[in-house]
Amino acid sequence: MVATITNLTPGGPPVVPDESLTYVVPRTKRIGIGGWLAIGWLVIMMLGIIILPFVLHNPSSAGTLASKGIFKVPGHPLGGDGNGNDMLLELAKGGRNSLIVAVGAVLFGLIFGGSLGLIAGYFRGKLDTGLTSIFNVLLAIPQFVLALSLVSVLAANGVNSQGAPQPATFTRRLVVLVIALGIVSIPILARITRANSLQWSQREFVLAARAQGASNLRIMWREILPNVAPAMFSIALLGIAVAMVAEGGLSILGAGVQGGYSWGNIIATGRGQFQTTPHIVFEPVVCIFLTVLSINYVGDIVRARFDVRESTL
Amino acid sequence: MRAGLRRVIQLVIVVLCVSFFSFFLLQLVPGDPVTSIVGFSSPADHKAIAHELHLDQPLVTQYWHWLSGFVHGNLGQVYYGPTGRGKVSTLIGQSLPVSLQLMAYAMILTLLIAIPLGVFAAYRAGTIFDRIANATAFGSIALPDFALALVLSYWVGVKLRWVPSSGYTHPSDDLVKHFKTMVLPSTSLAVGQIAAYMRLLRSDMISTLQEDYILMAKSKGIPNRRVLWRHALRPSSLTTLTVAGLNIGALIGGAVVVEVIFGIPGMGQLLFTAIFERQFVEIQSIVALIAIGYVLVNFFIDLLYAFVDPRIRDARAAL
Repeated sequence: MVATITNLTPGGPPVVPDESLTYVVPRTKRIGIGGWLAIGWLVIMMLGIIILPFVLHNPSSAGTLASKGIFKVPGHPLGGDGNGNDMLLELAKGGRNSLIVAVGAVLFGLIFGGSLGLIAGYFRGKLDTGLTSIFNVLLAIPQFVLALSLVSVLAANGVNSQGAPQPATFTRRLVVLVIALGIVSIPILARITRANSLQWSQREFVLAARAQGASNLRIMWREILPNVAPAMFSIALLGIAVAMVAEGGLSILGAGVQGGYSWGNIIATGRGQFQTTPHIVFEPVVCIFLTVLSINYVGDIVRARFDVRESTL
Repeated sequence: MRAGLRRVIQLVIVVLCVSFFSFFLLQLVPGDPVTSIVGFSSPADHKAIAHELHLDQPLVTQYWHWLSGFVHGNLGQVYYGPTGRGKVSTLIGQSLPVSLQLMAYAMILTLLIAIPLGVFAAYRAGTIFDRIANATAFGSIALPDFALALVLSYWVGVKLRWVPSSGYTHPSDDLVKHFKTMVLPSTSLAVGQIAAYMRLLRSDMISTLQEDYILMAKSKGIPNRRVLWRHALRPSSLTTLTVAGLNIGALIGGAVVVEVIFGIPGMGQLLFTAIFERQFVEIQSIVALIAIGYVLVNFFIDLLYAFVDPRIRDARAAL
């Protein structure tokens, strides 16, 4: 995730650039054609992921496409994979797992990072200093390497008493991926939540709530969280895109979900016969690209609407 | 000076935390670590390996042994069964230069393209050129580096056969071939970075161009080219520099995947093999090296910051 930090110049009035000159692609509150296209792709993708497996799933046809790994197969718009399965069905099934991992990881980060950031921003003082240094240490390791190392140890194949490797189950790998990518997203989400809670906890209505005898927990939950939420969610939206890309990268390195499909996993499997049947690799690549592009675009619009500054990161 | 001392202390603490995390990875492996590393071993061998890894001692002592070994260049062993051994430091010694080459090429390519593009897009803000450059950058950021790597290796490597689609040649063996094997991986890494840097530089540059001293320079009749490059670029490069630290993290992560796709024997490939062969000691050392390197790079970028903008140097000195 790339953060834009503006106006670092110390002293002097902040530079307010002329509106007409700061035209950055979707930095507008209007949704526009691009925005509708992005939303359209996200809706179509979600519907496809949910509906297609039921419509296309036909146990008797699994692995029966006569010409394995061929792109042009009548009745199968996206061709077949190396095992003779319909690519469209595989992509739908894979997309489901990719999305579960990405959304799950960000939810994990939102729950833990969000509450830690809220606590740090609300209580301030030593607690804040301590938590912030923990976030900084987590940020001191390149995100992808952190995720990779966590997955590699947590999802390590167990060994039975004879020392023979026991492959980790599909569910276990899925959970490990969610946790590993979730841990990676904790410091980012925590920092944005902290920065926002710092400001909101100074407001009069917080003082009023306190004067009425509201507990700290209640103030955080009822007064601060609703105000911080827009910033958290707009960053979380971008986090989903980042997690999705990370899942793809991890799969290529053999550290993704195995035994079940994900977009990254389809790429990893297809790489073996890349030179002869490139469509198996390119189709999931296009899916990831379009999804990430759409999420980034929608994310920018959401941030413009809620006026979330990335500079608070 | 006191601020400087505080920064160094912070640096040491972060390095210690990061190294402890890397050390702790072995503890996170489910089940018995010795069995996870070497598979089946006789009770005597098992005990010997556990002793070698100091696993029979308390956690803090283990960390101390690991850390002092690490500082002295003993990066642990790779285990081939209960008795076979290889030195991790030898493997890293072979791989690290290759990764550094790859990242250096990617970085050079990035700066060569991103700076002129960013400056020009800001100078011509709002024009067709600016819009196209921006839209392309927005798209490139959404394109994962592995995706670009796969597309390039297919079209340029397999279809057009301009350059080999995988493999690595040492520069001392054949310099031309070396660059041919590195051009696709560095491009795959650079495109996302170019987009990120260009967008940042452009938006900073636009703010700078509104400053009074730019107007002053222009009214003195200094040619635009000189105003852009000599007056506006340096104060505009601050944000870009700050984010460079974060971007290098992305570059390292990207390099890991891109190396594996193009079969380049760097640190990423080494880490990939180590994970596949469950060489957890090797994983510890590689992760520690990468993380410490990343921390140090960010520290130096922070120092560089003050050189680029004297106002920050003075502001810090006043603290």
